[in-house]
Order: sequence, then structure tokens, then C-alpha cells
Amino acid sequence: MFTTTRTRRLLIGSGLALAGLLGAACGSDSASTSAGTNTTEAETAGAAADSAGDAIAISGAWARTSPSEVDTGAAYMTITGGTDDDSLLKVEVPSAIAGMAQIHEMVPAGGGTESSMAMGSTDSTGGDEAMVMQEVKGGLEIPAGKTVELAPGGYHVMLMELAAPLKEGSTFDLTLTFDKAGEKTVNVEVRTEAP
Amino acid sequence: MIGRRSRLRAAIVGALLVGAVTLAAGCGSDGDAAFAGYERTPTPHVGDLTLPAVEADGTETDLAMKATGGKVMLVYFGYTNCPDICPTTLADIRQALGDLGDQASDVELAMVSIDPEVDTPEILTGYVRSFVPDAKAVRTLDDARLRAAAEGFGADYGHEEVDGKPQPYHTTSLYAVDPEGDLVLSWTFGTKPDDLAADLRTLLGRVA
Repeated sequence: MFTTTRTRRLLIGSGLALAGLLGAACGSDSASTSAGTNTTEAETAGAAADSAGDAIAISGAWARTSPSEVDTGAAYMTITGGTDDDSLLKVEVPSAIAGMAQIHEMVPAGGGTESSMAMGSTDSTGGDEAMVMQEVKGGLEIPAGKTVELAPGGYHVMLMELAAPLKEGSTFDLTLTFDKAGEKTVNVEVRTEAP
Repeated sequence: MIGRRSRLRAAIVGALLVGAVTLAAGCGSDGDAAFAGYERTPTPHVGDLTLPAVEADGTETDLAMKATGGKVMLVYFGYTNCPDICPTTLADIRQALGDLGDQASDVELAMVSIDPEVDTPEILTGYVRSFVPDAKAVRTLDDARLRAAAEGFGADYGHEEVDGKPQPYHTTSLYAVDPEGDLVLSWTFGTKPDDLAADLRTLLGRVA
């Protein structure tokens, strides 16, 4: 567990350093489709304005429209931790919408072994790395006061056995169960493009 | 736990690499040669590769990996039972083509299935055309042929065991091929539709 925390700190550190570099080099304009997964410092003031202040907060929940040929979909949202470290244990979806919901993440294929790292460092294809989807086991950590993005290319709620294609403009509820904060219901907007 | 840690480490390395590449490319902000996408040196030639383009009824026509009807062909290796990466990329392409307006007719899209056993002609054509109506659906059950084509692009795919079930994996870049069959540009996952559209405009401007 120590190593995991240490690694995450490293990840945050390198992410921030990178963000700084990119910001300096490019004069960043904000991404309309944010890739990857970020754990960043939440703006305490913003979170506090959200009534309770120390409660877990979920915002911007959306799911992409799904083609009628497939029965899978994905939902995304932003979760901001409360005063205590917490973790998202499970997500439930009404059976009228889908048979099952799971928390998934995209990771490098090959089990993230040393060899896949070596492959990733050969840069001949412009940083094109094979990715595979897997379920997040043991809960998704939501550290106190931090924001965890469920966004394309990173964490997402995978919807399986869709009862019907997800149509633009429709909405549905997901029930999120947190270890400490308990159950929270979030309304999800179905959209063609990312918000 | 070990696997997870290494994955995090791999993610760090990946993030830094992407950052380095982005910086090296100058972020596509100034200079006429600047792209948000990545130009490989030497430029891979893929125009001599062919793969079957399928229709819903299963009829096949060999498709050369080069722009024929237009000036740029976008090639994407993916699969339909893919809830996150593939629909995000295809929706971003649709958005970029929308930004291009009339020029969009000079851009073709071919989606190559890396999961052809599941992606029947009917499923694959319906799926990709739900994003881009005149897209080509490319599918072959001849894995040697698919593998050879993927290698030409520097793409990789396969299945790996995840929680006891085979799960498809694939490289997630989008490729642009010109009428000569040269792979002139590739974009990593997460490229903004605006940047995609701007790069496509530049590419279209190069081809008479």
C-alpha cells in the first residue's frame, strides 16, 4: 500500500510537471475531449460552495450515445472527495437501461510489465501504445479533497447488456456506492459529444 | 499489487513520452509545418497493402490503403464491442469532419476490425456508419493478412486474458494516408477534434 501511494504521488508529480511544461510551451487552451485520468487538487472553495462542503460530490455525469449494433456503453463523471479518503465500491444501473455496470479503466496491454514499458519507450510510432480495458478491483480510490475524473481513455463506468441503445437527450440514474459516503444517485445525460 | 504498480509506472512513462512528443512537435501552434499529429521518419508506405472492405450483406471489395475517392484516407484499427476508446475516436472524427464542412468530402474513413469474429459485416458496417455515414468497413478473417497490414501501419492488436476472459487490445492511434499511399500523419488517442480538423485542412491543402 505504501508503494501504491508513493507511485501515485509520483504519477501526480509527473503529471503536474508535464502540465506545467505544456502550459508554458503551448499557452494551453482547454481540452474539449479530455483524455486520460487525472487526480488533481480540488479547488476547495468550489467544493465548499457545494452545500455540505465536506461531502463527496459528483458532477458532469454523461454517457455517450451507443450505436444500435452493440450492447455496451460508457458513462463518465467527475467525483470530488470529501474530508475523508473514500472509495467507490460499485455502480448499479436500472435493469430498464442495462444488465450491469462496472468500473473500468484503460491500461497498457501486456499486463504493464517491464517489457511493455520498454515497448512504450521505442517511440517510432509517436507514442502509440496498445491498450486494454480491465475492471477496477477493490474499489476506485477517491482521496479526501481530490478530484477523480472518469473520462474517455481513463476510468469509465462500463454499461453492459444495454436494454436499448442510449439515445441523445435521454437521461438515466446510476447508483454509486462509496465505502464511507454510502449510496449516491447521479443523473446521467446521454450525449453525442463530450460536454 | 505488483502488476498494478508496474502499470502505474508504465502510465507515468507513457505520459512523459506523450508529453515529450507533444513538445517536440511544437504543439501544432505556430509554423506552417506544425501538426498536432505525429509525422514519422521515414514516412511509412502502406499503399501497396490491401484489405477487404465489406458491405452488410458480406460482399467484399479489395481496398488499397491509400486515398482514392478523396485526398486523405483516415484508417483506424478498432472493434465494435469497445465502449470507451473507439466510440470516442469515431465521435471525434465525426466532429472534425463536421468542422471541415465541404472539405470533408475529400476525407475518407476506413475502420479496420481487430475483432473480426465478433464484428460481422452487418455489425461492422452499421457501427462505423452510425458515426460517419460513408465510412468503409474493413474486415478479414485471414489473420496473417490483417497482421501484415497492421504492421505496415505500426499498429498492434490481439486478445489478452483479463479476469479469465479474452479481451481485445489495440493501439489507439488514428492514421492519415495520402493518395500515394504514404502514411503522412498519425494522431494519438485524445487529440482534440479541433486539432484533428486543423491538421486535416493542412493535409488537404498539400494535395492538389
